[in-house]
Amino acid sequence: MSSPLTPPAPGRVLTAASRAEAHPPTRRRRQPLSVHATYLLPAWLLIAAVVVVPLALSAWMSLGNETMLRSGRFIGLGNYTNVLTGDFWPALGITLVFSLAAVFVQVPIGLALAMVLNRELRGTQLYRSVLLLPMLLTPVAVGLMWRLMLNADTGVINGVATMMGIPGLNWLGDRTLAVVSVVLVDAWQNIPFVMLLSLAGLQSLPDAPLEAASVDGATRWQSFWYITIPMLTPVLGVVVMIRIIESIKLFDIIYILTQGGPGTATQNLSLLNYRVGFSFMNTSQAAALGIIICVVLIPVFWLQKKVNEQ
Amino acid sequence: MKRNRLLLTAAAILVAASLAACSTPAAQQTAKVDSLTIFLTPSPTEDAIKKLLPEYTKETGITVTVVDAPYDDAHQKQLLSFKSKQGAYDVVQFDNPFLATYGDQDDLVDLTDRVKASSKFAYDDFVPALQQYGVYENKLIGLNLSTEPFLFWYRKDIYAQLGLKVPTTWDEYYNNAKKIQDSGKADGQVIAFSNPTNSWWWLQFLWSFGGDLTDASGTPSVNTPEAIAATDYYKKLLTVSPKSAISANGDDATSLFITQNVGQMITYSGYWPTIMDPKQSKHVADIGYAAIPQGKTNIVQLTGWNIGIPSDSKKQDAAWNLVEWLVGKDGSKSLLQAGGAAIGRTSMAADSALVKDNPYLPLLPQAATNGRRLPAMVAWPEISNQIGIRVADVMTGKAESQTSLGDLNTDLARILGK
Repeated sequence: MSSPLTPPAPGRVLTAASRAEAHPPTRRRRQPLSVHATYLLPAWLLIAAVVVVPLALSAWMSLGNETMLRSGRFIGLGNYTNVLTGDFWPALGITLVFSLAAVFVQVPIGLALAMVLNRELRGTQLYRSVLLLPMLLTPVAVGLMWRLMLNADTGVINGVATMMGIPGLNWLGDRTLAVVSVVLVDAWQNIPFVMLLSLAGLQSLPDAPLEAASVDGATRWQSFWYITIPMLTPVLGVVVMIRIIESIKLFDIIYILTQGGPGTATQNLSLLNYRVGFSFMNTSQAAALGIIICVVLIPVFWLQKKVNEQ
Repeated sequence: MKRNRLLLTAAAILVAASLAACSTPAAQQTAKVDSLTIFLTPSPTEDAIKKLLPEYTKETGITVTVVDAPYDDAHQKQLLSFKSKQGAYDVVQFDNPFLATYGDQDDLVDLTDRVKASSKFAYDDFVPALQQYGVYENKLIGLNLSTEPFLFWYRKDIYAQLGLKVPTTWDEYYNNAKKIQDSGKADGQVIAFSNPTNSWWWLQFLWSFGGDLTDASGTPSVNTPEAIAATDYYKKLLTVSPKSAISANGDDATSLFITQNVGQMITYSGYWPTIMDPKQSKHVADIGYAAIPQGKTNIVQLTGWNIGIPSDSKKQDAAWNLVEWLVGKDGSKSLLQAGGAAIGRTSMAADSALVKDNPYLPLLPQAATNGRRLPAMVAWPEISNQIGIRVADVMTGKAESQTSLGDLNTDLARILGK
């Protein structure tokens, strides 16, 4: 007879009784499924209350013609047709522009700043604190401040340009420059976030691969491109995903800076949704637009999931 | 002893039950009210009301709680409150374009009878256009809390230097602006060109040039020759404006006029406290004003705050008492003296003491006589937004007037056809 701690003899079939004999009951006994479900229930209920139920209600509302003034009736997919034949496509286009800009402007600059700060030069602490300041401001304050600075007649930016003999630009009054202005202001506020996460990522990288590369005669650029970047990819992936999602949601800065203008030059999906829901009081149509925005976001979440899995 | 106590208890229960039965809504109305809640929107008028409320509390013993929200959120908050019917607000300040939205849902009390019966309010003190200003479908649901027609504002010093005369037609207005611009002394003029507020200024030109949003049958008519001429004129003004005017709303345009060198401006009379405030305005001593120039018509756009009593207020009598105190014949003067925008009462325009400090007062009833308020339509916010976008397309060179107004006509047909 084997002791409880010795493995069973080869060929011996483990019955329930023998298994119990081999592994006597301990405090870590496996809990039945119902116990797990009981523990998880409050969390699931909370998620259902704040996410699933509102989403389901929005989906249902999007099929009616309810406004902020009166309850509606079922009209099928009429709101979706209205949304997709209205200002949706230009707003989607400008949303994509802001998202691409968030990735291709903010991430390289944020990473470059992080690389500089990671070298622990003199004054790094001070620079790091100063560079983080924009991130601490509320988007509304940032929008108001830049609105004043970008004013074509009274703004400091054109003022300095004029002093240097450069003609001032109509930052908020020209359709293209208004888009550029929003991109710049959003970048100004969010590059510190990219920098902070990239810096944390850089500081957590092991030194050994870089030292080995150095011994093998790799240049700085080769070390950066073939070692640092691949090792940093998971962090950068998360940063890119967060910035894409945040840029799709971008609202405050645009609202304060340009109100979506001139015309609809800077009106993204968030601003359009706000207008439809709160200015025009068309709640059902806003719900339809909200559902469409969720659908637009699905590939982004899928991409994020893939990055996380890696 | 025990029996007596039982009898006393039973009697007490009976009395309590009888009192509870009597406490119907009517009884609540007559019950003494010790507090009211007023919803205000940030403006000189709000500041003035806040200054005056302690005096009201002193006179009546009623405490008034002020709730406020920025303009962009105020009406949504009010609507949600009206929909919940909890009586959260007893008095509300609202902008006139929301008259239709509130009137359509019977969200506000019809004050016709109260106003006509009140000598303190003096309904006859208003010209007919102002008596009608808060009327929706024959119900008076909003009283005048301010009267703000468009006025013409100009720099007297620049006009004197260039020998210009106050314009009486839109052609003269542009020519003056051009002369000022060409002189290099200042920018020619300023108005709001950015959407969505540009719709209000554009509408003034549309009306002046003989156009309208819809024809007599209610069919959209913004692609007419009059509308195109108005839009082209509006764009022409951009060439004699400061560079940032294209992204300016009403506040920005006024700010440019009072802090920079700009020869003339069309804006609402409600900006008077700002324009004439030496702390904010660089040119107080040099600013003149007059009625706006005329085109094919002499229509003047009339705006201004309204004040009303929500239908779900549980203290309507007390709320009326407060409204009467604030915007009655005497209250209107106090409001003006406390820094609020003026209410266009005929008696105030004739009050020499008031006119001495507020010389523009006589212009208000005069302008209101030809006054036309913004369209009282439930869909106005969406219409206004669409006008703003299409007009901005013309201003920024994205589209020609004819094309853009054709698109606007289609937009209006879609919105009005909902």
